Amino acid sequence: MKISRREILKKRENKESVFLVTGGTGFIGSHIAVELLGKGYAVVLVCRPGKGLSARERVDRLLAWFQISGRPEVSRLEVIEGFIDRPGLGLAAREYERLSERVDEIIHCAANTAFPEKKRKEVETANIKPLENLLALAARGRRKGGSYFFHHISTAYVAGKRTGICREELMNTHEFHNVYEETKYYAERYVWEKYPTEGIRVNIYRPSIVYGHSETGRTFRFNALYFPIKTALFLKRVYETDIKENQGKKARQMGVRMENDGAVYLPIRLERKPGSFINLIPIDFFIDAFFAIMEESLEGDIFHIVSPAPKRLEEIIAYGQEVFKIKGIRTVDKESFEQEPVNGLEILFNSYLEIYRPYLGDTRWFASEKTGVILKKRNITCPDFDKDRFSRCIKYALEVDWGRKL
Amino acid sequence: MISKEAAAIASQCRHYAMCKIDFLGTGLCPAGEAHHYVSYYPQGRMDLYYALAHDLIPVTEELVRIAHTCTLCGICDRQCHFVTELRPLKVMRALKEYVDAHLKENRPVVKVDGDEVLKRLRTVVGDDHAANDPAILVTYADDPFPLTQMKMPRYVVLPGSQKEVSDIVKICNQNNIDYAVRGNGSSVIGMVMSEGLVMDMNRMKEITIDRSNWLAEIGPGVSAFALQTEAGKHGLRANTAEPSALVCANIMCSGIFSTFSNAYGTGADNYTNAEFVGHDGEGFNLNDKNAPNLFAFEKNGAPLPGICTRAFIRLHPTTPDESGILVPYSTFAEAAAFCRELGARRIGISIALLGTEYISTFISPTAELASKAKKFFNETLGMPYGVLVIGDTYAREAIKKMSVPIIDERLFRLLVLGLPRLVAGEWSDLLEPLQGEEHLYKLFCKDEIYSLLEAVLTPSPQTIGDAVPGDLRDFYIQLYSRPGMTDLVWLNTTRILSSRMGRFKHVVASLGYVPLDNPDLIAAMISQFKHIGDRYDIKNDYGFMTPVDLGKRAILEYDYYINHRDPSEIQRMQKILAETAGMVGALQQKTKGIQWINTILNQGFSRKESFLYM
Repeated sequence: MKISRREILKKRENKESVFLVTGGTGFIGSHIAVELLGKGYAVVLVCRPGKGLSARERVDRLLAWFQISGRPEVSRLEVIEGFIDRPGLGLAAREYERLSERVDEIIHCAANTAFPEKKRKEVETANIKPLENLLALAARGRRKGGSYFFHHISTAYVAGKRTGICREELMNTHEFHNVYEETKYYAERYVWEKYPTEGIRVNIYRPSIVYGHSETGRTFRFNALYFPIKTALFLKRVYETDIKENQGKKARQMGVRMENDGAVYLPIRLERKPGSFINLIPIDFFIDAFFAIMEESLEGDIFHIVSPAPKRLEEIIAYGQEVFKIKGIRTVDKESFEQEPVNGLEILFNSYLEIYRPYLGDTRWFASEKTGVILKKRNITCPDFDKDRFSRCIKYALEVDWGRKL
Repeated sequence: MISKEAAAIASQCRHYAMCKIDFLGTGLCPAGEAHHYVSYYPQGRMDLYYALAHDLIPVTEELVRIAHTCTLCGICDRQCHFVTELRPLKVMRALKEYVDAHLKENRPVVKVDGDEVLKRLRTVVGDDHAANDPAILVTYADDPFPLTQMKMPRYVVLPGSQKEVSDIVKICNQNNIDYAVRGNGSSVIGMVMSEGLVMDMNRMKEITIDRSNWLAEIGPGVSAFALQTEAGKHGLRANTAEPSALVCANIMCSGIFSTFSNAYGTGADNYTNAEFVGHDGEGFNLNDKNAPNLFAFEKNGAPLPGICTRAFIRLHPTTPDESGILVPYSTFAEAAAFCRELGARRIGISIALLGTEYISTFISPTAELASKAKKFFNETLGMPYGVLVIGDTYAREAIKKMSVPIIDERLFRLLVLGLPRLVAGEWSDLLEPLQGEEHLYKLFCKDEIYSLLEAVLTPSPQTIGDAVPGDLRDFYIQLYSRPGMTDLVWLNTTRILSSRMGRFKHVVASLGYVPLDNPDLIAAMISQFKHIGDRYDIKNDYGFMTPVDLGKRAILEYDYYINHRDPSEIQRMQKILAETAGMVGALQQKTKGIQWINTILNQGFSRKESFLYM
């Protein structure tokens, strides 16, 4: 049986709600957890150990990155070493029982974002399997009065290969660009259909591509858009060295040259579909939007958290070329691209583009009326991904050597 | 005083005998070359130091001589680092210091008395070539094979001719002394030890090339490397095993097989005739009508027919357009099918389906780099297998027409000389998102990418030299400046890189012949080998596979890696050997085309048709 709206509001207002956050060591999950702590809630993270670190050590590293280690709110954080893809979350029976009784709301952020088909098994395990286990936990908790809300972090890209307008409603498609989209799609359907039968309310949040903080550029994930930029800078450095130290033999072979103004010319044509966009949102906007929706949508619904002004690839290339004194990178349509022989740089960059093409050259348009109403009410707007924001993000990436210094 | 560090190094000598061949052009250990006994080579000095550290021998007159003949020239350090990453020079120095301190303290030096047998042996071979001093004996007493027990011989003899071998055998028979023949002082499968007498054939190294008959007439002390080098001077090639292995001993043992067996065959395909000294001490010639029929094969095993004192090895033509290519594969099944296709179509001379354990180990000058390279090939490039083909222009063109991505000699050279940067963090990280549906090796094999890789990796002897310790850097730079070090034809002919497979630990190879037209069976066998190794927590990996006889059969090797000084690992390896033998034996009962090494032992002179098609 569902809990009443009034009870939800009351528990939240009194900060009595205990939130279980999955994916708490991930980019979105950690930001949500830190924000919850800041708002005065108690937070439980179920994390697996990894890379030679215990779950607690992994979380401690993140708290240091968020610069909140030792702060009073951290005392409300509990870290449990567990495995959400295993029955009972891999916990001892008593621990599991205690957890089910303690948790009021679950925010499910854990996901595997790998695209390759060869990783299907692990992506399915990460993106589908935990839902059954979390449902079992939530259902058990619900019977004792807890676990009344499940917040599912999905993705705008459950739309798969659909084109045109994609609504904030349960998607109905069977064609996907990759296993990530597919598993997230089926995960949504599972959540939407199964959880309410146990009296659990469900909100589904569908962000587009999330980058660093709009003001500081801070992030600890340097994937997606960061990769081609990092590669361009790496190659610029390689050819600059060749030109300065080895008479530019390799640069000449590739058609790379140093311009009079000191810019490095990299002859790279990127194949791009006309009329396509990239939908980018900063993490701070996502967090604001998420909490606004969480607080406003008490019956459960589906929301796109996207930018109303997606960018064109050319705009981002222009930012990069200007900021880093690079020339020569340009987009062309398929026909033009095929008219000239490709060089090694183009093969490399178009390989990146191929993987991220559904997102860097997007022809889907994500409607966000429902989210828009809430954001308008809260006076929240999505910052534009302009040159300054681009610069801040890359500046931070360089400061931390693309995460190596973190 | 025994140095712990030196003793630890000494304990790890794998007995691969690479210090007994001049495979890097550094020259040989001068003392070893002059005195022939293993004890005078770095391998022997390592064993001597180990023996002193474990109180197995006293300080003897011979030990003092051995210690004093070492000039600390450092050749051993360069040779051994190249193969195993061990630094034996510390042991050489420690041995000298130990003996010097012993003498300085006026502690006793044992003089070992001779006996009648030794006197007779010395009459045959000369005083310098027969010994009973423990400092000589102990270096012939053990090997790293997990089923062997240490056996200290009473005598070690270095015969110089077939006549001397014959006389030694007769002396042994008259005195009821057991004997064994030890080729290059090396043994890795435990068959060449005796509590009686050990013959070391190190003095019988003569090679005569009979160009008109395409033959090399060789003595029993001729190593594979020496034979290939000599054949190469005449534009010819033999089918040989590892470079330090002795050719006659190899034929005696299991017959010669290599990746060239695809074209050159195995067993009796490799020789035209051989001379022996039989167990009665009398000589016989294999082509004599009355000689034992060594061309036949006894499926239940056979004893050694005698001592091979001369063999006439077949040589094969080479062409100036030979070159190597590596064809990457993401699955064993596809790679095996390709190998069979090449064998059946008679494309290529040498063919080997290699796993990344071999590929990465062979091309990396250090274990650390090998480990990174393996991960890079497996995970980043998505090529856990590569089919190595040596062939002429026509062979390579035929393979190109098969539309498979190819790592040609030029790209191979680039990858080897740029290896430290290829697998380094930054470049490797950048490639991470490209590990998508298409395997990344396909991208690397595109012609257009070559120039980009060249710019990024800056392949050069200096770049690969950065991977080794600073004091060896200049040596490695000079070494990798030689074209041979990145020439797949030369590397595959001499096999100087293959001993690197024992760099991590000693290798215990399980090998034999399998039906190549049954790839599912082969895959199942590999899976079983792995399962058994994993169960006993012994590092293991797929080795290689080479088609034989037009792709009808193949040679398969699967490897286990053990610390041969660790009793627990030895015990576990013994169990593995028993289980794998059982597994293969059961398969042999119900499947044609499986013939394992244990049944082939001592029958390497057989016709391949006698054991491949039973």
